[in-house]
Amino acid sequence: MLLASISFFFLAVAAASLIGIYQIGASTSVIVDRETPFVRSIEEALFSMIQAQFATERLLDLDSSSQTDESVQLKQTLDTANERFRMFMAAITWGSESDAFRQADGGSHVRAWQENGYRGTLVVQESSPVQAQHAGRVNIYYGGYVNNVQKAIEERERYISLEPKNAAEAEAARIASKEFQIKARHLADLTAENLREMIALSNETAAGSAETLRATEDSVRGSTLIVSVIGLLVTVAIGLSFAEKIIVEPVLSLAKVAQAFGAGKLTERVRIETRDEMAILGKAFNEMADRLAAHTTELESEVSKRTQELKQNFDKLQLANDRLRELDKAKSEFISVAAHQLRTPLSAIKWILGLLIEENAANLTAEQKSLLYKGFESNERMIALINEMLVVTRIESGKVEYKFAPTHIEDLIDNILLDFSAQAHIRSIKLSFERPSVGLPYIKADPDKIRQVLQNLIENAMHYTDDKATITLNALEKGSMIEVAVRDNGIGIPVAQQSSIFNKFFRADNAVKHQTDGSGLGLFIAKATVEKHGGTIWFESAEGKGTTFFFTVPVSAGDA
Amino acid sequence: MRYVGLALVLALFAVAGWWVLQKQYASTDSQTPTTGAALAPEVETILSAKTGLLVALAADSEVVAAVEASNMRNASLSADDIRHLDAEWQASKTVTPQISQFMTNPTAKHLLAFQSGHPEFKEVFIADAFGLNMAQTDKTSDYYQADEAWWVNSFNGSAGRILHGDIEFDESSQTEAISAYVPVKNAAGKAIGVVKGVINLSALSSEL
Repeated sequence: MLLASISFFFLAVAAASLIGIYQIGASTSVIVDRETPFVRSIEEALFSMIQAQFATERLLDLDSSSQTDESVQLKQTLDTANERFRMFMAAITWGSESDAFRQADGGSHVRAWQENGYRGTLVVQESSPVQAQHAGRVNIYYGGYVNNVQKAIEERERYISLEPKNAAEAEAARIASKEFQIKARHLADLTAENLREMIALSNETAAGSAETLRATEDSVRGSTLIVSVIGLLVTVAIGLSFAEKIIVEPVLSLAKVAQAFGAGKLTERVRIETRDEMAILGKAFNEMADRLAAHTTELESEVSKRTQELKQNFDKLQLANDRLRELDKAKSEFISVAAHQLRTPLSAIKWILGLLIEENAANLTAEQKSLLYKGFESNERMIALINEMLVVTRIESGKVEYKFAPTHIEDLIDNILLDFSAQAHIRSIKLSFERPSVGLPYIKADPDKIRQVLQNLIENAMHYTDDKATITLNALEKGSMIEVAVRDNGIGIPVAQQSSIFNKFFRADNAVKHQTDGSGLGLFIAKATVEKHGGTIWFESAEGKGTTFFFTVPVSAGDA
Repeated sequence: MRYVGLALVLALFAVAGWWVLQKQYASTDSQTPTTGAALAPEVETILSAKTGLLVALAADSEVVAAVEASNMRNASLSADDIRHLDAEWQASKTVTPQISQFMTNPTAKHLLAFQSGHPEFKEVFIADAFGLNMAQTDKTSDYYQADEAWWVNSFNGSAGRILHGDIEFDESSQTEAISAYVPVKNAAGKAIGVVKGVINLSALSSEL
C-alpha cells in the first residue's frame, strides 16, 4: 500500500509535469511557429496593399498619358504589390509549405516566395477556421479593390485620351474613374480592417498562449515545489521508519543485551535477523560475549581458589597476630612488673647515693665524688627510663587518666621555659617564646600531660642541637585549635627514617650518634597524649638544618 | 504513532497529487478565440443575387418534378439501405455507375446548362427530402446529405430556408468558395429537397 501510494503520487505528478511541459511546448510553438510568422505575413500583405494604394493614387493623379515612364513604373509597382499581396494571402490561407500554395495560380506564388528569399526563412502555417474566414473576406475585398482600381485606371486613361476631343465623354470617364476609385478605397478599407482583425486575433491567440505558458510555468513550478516538499517529508518519514527498524531497534537490542551482560547475566546473547552490518556487529558481540563469559568463569574459579588460599593465610596470620598480642601483652606486663620491681631498689640506690654525697662530701676525694655523681646520674636515668616505660605500658593498656581543664597555654610555655632556662644559659642556647600579638584562648587540656609533651619536645630540641643553637616556640589560634610549634636548627631527621620517628624505642641514626642517651619513648608518649586530647602532632625536618614539631590542642569550649 | 504519521503523510501525498493533476488539466483551455463577423453589405448583395439564381433554379418545374420523383423512389429505402449506399459511394475512388446516374440524368443536364450560363457556380447539386443526391454537376464526396448541417438548416423540417455558408476552401479546385442553399418546394410550399450551389469567391470579387 505504501509503495502503491508513493507510486501513484509520483506518477500523477510526473503526468502533470509532462502535461505542463507539453503545454509549454505547445504554447511556445503557437507563439513562435504559428502566430509570429502569421502576423508577419499579414503585415507584409498590408504593406503590399498600402504600396498598391500609393501607386494607384499616384497613377490616378497623373495628367499625362499612360505611356510615360512614371506611369509605367507605377503600374509595375501596382502589379508587383498586388502579386505580393496575393502571395502572402495564399500563404496565410493554405500555409507556405502546403501543396495548395505550391500549385495555386500556376505555381506563381511559390516561385515568388522563393525569389523573395522566404523559402526556409518564413514558414507560415495554414489559417485556423476563424482566420480562414477573415482571409476569405480579405480575398474578396481585395479582389474587388483590384477590379475597381483597374476600372478606375482604365476610365482615367479614357478620360485623358478623350479630354481634348470630347469633353462630355471625357468628363463622364473622369467621373466614372472617380467612382471606381472611391469604391476601390472603400474595398481597400474593408481589406485593411479585416487584416487588422486578423492581426488582433493572432495577437490574442499569442497572448493567450503566453498566458497559458506563464500559468503552466507557475503550475509546474508549484508542482515541483510540492513534489520536493512532500517528497522530502516522505523520504524523511520513510527514512526514519526504516532507520528505526534497521538501525535503532538492533542497536537498542544490542544495548539491552550488553547491559544484561554487564549486570552479570553472561548467558544473554544478541539476536539480529537481518543480513547487514548490524548482523555483523551482533555476531561480533556474541563472540566477544562467549569469550568474556569463558574468561569470567576461569577468573571466578581462580579467584575462588586464591580466596581460599588467602583465607587460610589470613587465619594463620590471625593466629600469629593473636599470639603476638599475647606476647606483647605479656611483655607489657613483664615490663610493668619489672619496672615496678626495679623502681623500688633504684629509688633506694638514689637515696643512698644522695645521702653519701651529701653527708660525706668533705671526706671524699675528687675522684670518689665524681664516681658517686656519675652513679647518681646513671641511677636517675634508669629511674626516668623506668618511669617512661611505665607510662608507655599505662598508655597501651588504656589506664592513663586525663584531667581536662581550661589551661592557659602561654603560661604553661613560660613555666617550662623557665625550667629550661638554666640549661639553655649554660649551653648558650637561645630559647625563646614568640608570643602572639593577641592573647590566646584557654585550651581544654590536662595541664600536666601537655606540660610533659612540651617538655619532651624541648628536651629533644636541646639534645639534638649544638651549643649556641636557637630554639623557638610559638603558638597560634587556628579555628577551634591552638597550634604550638617547637623549632630548632639542630641535626634534623633523615628523610628515610622520618616515618618511624613516633615508634616506641626508635631513635634516628644521627640522633644516636649525636646523643647516645635516650629512650626513644618520648615522641611515642607525646603523640599518644596529643591524640588523647583530640589534636594532632607532626613535624617538618631537614637533615643538618633543623626540625620543627607541631601539635594542636582544642580550644576550651567556653572560649571557642 | 509513527504509522499514523506515515499514513497522514501518504494521504497528503495523494491529495496533493490529485490537486496538481486537476490544476494542470484545468489550464488546458482552448487558446483560439472565436469571431463571426458578417460579410460587407455589397458582398451580401452579390451573394444574394447569386442565391436568387439558385432560387429560380429550384423553382423550375422540371427540377421540382424530378425531386418529387426521387422522393417517391427513395421512400422505400430503409436506414440500413441508405447507410450501405452511402458507404459504397464514399469508398469509391472513381465515378461508378451508381454515381454517374446522378451526373447524367436530365436534371443533371439541366444543372450543367445552368452552370454553363453562370460559371461563377463551380458546383451545383440537389438532394431530395431524404437527403439523398438526385442530380449533380460534379462527383460529391458522399451520397447522403441529411446528416450535414447545411441540409438540415435549409430543409428546415419541410419549412425550407434560404441561407449561405462560410467561406470554404475547396481542395480539389484549390479555390475559395461560398455555398448557397435553397430549398426546392412543391406546390404546397413545402420543402421537398435542397439545392446547393458553390460560388467562387473570385466571382464575387469581380462583381464588387
